[in-house]
Amino acid sequence: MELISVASLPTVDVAVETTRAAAAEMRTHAESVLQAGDDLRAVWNGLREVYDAPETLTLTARMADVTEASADFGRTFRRISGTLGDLAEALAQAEARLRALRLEVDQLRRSVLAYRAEAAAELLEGEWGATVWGPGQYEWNASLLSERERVRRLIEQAHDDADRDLRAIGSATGLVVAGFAAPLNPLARSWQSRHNDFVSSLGTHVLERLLAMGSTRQMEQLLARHPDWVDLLHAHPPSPDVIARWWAGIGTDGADALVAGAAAIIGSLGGVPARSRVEANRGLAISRLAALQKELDLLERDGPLGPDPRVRMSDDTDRVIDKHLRRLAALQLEMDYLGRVRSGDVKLYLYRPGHGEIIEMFGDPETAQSIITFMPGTNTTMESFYTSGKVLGISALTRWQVERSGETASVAGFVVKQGPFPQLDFHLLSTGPQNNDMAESLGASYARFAGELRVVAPETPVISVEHSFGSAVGGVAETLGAKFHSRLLLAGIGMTAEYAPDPKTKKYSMQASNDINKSFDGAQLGNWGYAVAPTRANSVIPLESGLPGTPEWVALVSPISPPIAIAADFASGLEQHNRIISADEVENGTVLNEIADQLSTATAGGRP
Amino acid sequence: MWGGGAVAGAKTHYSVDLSGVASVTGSAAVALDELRRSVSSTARALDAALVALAKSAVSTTLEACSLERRASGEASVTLGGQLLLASQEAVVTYVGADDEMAQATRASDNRAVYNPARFGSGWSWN
Repeated sequence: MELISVASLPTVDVAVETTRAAAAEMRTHAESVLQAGDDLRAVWNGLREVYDAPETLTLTARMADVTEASADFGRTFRRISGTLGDLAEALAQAEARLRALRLEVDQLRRSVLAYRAEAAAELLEGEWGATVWGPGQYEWNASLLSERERVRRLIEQAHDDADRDLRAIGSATGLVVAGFAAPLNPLARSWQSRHNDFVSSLGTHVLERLLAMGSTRQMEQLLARHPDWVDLLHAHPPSPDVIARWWAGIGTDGADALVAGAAAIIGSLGGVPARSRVEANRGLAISRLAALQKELDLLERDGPLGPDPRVRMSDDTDRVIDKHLRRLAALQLEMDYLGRVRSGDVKLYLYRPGHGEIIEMFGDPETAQSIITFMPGTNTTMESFYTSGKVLGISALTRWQVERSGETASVAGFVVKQGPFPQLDFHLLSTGPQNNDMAESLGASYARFAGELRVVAPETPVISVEHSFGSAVGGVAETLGAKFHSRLLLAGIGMTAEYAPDPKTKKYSMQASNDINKSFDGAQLGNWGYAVAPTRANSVIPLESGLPGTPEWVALVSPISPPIAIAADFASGLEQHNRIISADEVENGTVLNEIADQLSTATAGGRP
Repeated sequence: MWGGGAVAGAKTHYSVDLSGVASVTGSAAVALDELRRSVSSTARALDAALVALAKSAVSTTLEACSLERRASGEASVTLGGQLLLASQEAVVTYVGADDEMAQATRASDNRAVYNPARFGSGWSWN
């Protein structure tokens, strides 16, 4: 019987760990291929709903072939990964047994050779000593020879199994590509990037088509046939700088025609000069005014109970009458406001009442030396704009700043509402100011608006003045890249934990010492609350507000009746929380003058 | 918006909801990017396995059984992208000439703005 040697052991001629890792990687990515193919099929099937054309069936059928091919690819490589995984597992076992075998072979050989050397020395018969076995060595060697054979078979079997499994994989189904030899370029542009360009260019194509119509009437008819074109430009507008360049090349006649014939697009299209947007939105306001007038005429003609006799006989006439009166009041309020838009007293940079979007503009941003954008807070509605006065209300502070600049018109202003705001109402839990989800969407829109201003007034510093919840909106916008010269947080609620400050944007805060928001400073749990309080620790410089804070009498009452003192202090904090956005020079002079100073300073310096 | 004028004996409709198509093609682009990443990564894993098995006869079998699949996987991404681009081109054409397309397009008509035969030319299917 031969004495086993290490050299006689079988070897594993495969990089086992690399194979195992490759198999695992292959499985993961093959599963992703299957998932992506499923996603593509599901998405593409929706094309038939929105694309009705002779080639629609061809488009969907060919994509089905694509997804079938990708499914075949995914399934096949998942199967291959299984085979390679099994091979690697078996060979890993073989390697482990070979390692143990090598050690034992080495031990045996040293033991046997030592025994034989000793025996040869004693017997002086070298020839005979070379074949002698010590106690148990013969059996030990025999068992190692057997193990060597078992491992050899294990390795062969693993290879045979893998080879058989791989040979059993049939030909590809679905897509067959003769001579296809174009491996995917990992550095190629993503389809998403190309799609973004496509969608953006689509908006420009729509504008070109409208322009080619020539007359306002034809533009209106075209858009009436394609209301989705308006939706497209709202959802996927070309970038403001693209629009600005395009607009500059269409001439006065073209611009005037678009403003009149495509107001629903032009009125909210970033990059269009502000005065053109205002004119387009004036047209929209006039149209809406006419529609509201019709509704008002009908309501007044039919009376509170309407033409249906069953209503008159119902037990619920009080509620119906109340609803009627409330609608009349709301109509009158909105119509008064739209009348001011029609006359030019109110200028709208954005007006999409169906989406709760409105931006009121003061002054001329294209000639102003600085711009104030005012982001309001909780409870802001469309009605907030209709009811705002010169001293109190949502636009009072901005109007004051612009009018103060007087004949030089050095300041322009915007009061911004680009969607629904949180409300303290019956839906407090879902849409109250503590829910920071709304700040995300409003902040994204605010960042886009700031980007538009950089195009229509590129050199003009913009100061964002934000009230209460509005500071969360401003924080999101800053995080998303809005380039404000500075932000001034009035009784700010703070920013969410995701806030990433722009070091070039200076931040200031002003609030009464007993402002109601102070109770919530820095508290956030998920989509509730705001983790970043407007404090010096967060690089927000506090400024004196001039607001009195807790009334002196409250401090006197506190030892006598703490509940009364707490309630009174809360009421005072709430009143000052709202007073801070007023244009009352006596009650809010410090805040008004601070903003005015900053606007004039920004005029001199500009954003670094 | 939907449906065009009736022309006897011909399929005449050609209408496109731009926002809807933008939504579909946008999602399809996301899926195609993921498909491309996954197919490429699978192919890289295959290459790594072939190197690891280079001294084994299994590598020959692996290469033989995966060659066609690899090509079809990569081709599926390329063709999917072509379909995406084709639909986008058709939509752009539609925006420029929806009236003509809605009124006069026929699947078999040479005047058709988009000829279905263009899809997948150069490819074979089984």
